[in-house]
Amino acid sequence: MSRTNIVAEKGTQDVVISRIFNAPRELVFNTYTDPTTVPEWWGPKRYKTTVDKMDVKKGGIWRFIHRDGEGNEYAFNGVYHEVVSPERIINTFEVEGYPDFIGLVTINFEELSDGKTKFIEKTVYQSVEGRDGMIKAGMSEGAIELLDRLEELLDSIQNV
Amino acid sequence: MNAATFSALAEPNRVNILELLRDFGELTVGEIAQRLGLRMPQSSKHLHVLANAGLVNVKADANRRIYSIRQESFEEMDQWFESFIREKEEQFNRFEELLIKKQATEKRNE
Repeated sequence: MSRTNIVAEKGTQDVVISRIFNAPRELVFNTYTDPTTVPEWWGPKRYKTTVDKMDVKKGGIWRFIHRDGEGNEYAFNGVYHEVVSPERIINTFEVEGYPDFIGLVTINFEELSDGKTKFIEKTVYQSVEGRDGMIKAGMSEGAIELLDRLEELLDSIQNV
Repeated sequence: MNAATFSALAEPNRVNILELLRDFGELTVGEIAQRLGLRMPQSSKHLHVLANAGLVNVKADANRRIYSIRQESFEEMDQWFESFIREKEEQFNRFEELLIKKQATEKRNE
């Protein structure tokens, strides 16, 4: 059973990802905003991640680069709009080359009673299509194919 | 992942039947029909679709047929849904490993 919860309700523009970490809130926040640790955990494991810019304060810019085995690069960037340690971060998220699909991300770090922290990341995209496209792009290749098949299937059921 | 599973699930009465079986374990066609306010032939038809899609097991007891959930197909569906979030999950697992490492370092420095 997975410990990460992803909710993307049909017909909406947002994706909500949540997960409970077994660590106090300050540590979770500090680790999340520490550029030296980003390459260790950000993005899928098959990419090598480097931090080009990461200035975690209002108006600060972040830019991360993924490199795959063939040397292809994919970059992501955004601007921090609000940083309230250790509670909340609001920033934008852009896949470089796709400026039509910029997301607005609000991350809340909720302190739980037993020394745990609930991480809740809500991303709102500019359109339902943009949101759906990002979900598909974020998934492994096999899953995309399966999702397409499911979509076809649901279409065929609805058209009966 | 078998597409027939989803098409079997796309009918509300069939979802209700599965939920009943989940709660009660085993039920006969008559019991299902009664609890859901369906006619017997209608219930049989739905159960037939569910059985064909591999979602329920059927065993015969004299002239009664007893239905129960076939767990394997639900496990299969669960794995399929899981595949969608595996990448994010993997990322957060690595983040958590880092948190554990940091916590251990903090403890040593105390």
